[in-house]
Amino acid sequence: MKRGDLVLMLILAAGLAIFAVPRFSDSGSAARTAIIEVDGRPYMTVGLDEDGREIEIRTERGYNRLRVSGGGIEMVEADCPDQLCIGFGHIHRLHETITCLPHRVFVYITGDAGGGAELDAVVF
Amino acid sequence: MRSFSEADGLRKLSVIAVFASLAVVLGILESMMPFATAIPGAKPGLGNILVLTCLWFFTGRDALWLIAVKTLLTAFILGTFSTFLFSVMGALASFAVMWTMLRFARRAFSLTAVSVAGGVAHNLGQLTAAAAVLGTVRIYYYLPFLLAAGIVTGVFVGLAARHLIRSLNRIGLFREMAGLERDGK
Repeated sequence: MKRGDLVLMLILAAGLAIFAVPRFSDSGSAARTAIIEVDGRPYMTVGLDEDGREIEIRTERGYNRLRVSGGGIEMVEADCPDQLCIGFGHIHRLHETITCLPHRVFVYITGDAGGGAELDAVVF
Repeated sequence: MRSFSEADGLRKLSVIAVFASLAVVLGILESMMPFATAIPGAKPGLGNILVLTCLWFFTGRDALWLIAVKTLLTAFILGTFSTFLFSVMGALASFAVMWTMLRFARRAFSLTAVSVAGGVAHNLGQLTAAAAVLGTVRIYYYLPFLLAAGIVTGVFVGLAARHLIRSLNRIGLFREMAGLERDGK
């Protein structure tokens, strides 16, 4: 172990902590909606309580099909070459994402629609 | 030895070509591995073993050629042009970090540290390209997974490169070529 190795380890640990702590600390809060973006533009906002709803996305790049179930959403079909988007599985926690890079499709989960502030609870 | 410099250049070119073809084969192999099912978008990055070894023995320019051949051929063979931009951005970021570390601070870092930094830089570069194309920084929520993946694969690639470099060092021809390269600078 050299001195530079230690510095690198510290940087990586700090980087992981900065990104991972907020990511996992609010994972328990209620997730209500999934926002779908295509090519960097908002495409659709879906309530995650709409069990069984399917969203089809057809663009000149290709075809994707998402399905809402059990308070979450997942990519069930895509004609992209790498099929990575399906590998993301069923997402249901706040800030979880599905990305289909070949088709420029991006899905992420946010809190209450229009609520803005993603708070668990407010105590007076 | 100087009068043979042309032959030496040819020798080096062949070595880099062999490295490139090895990297392509490893790239094809890892596309068959179910690695990406655990963390979509992450790859073992076995080709980086060759890039790192190339950087160790030869110059940054040689390594850049290796990367160019590797990424182009892999995209042709696997037909992954839709994500080509992201592989290139990842490869270039990884190259820049590893080259800088080996060029200016070779003594301060172990090979594994260089490889880990390269792996992390690869994923950061890829994710940054994705953020630019998709026009969203929210994709960085995915960064912790890719960071962790980059660290794990970086350690593995670093250990493999260390073995390869040690073995190649035993071959006189190789040591000679690398030595010539350093003298030529």
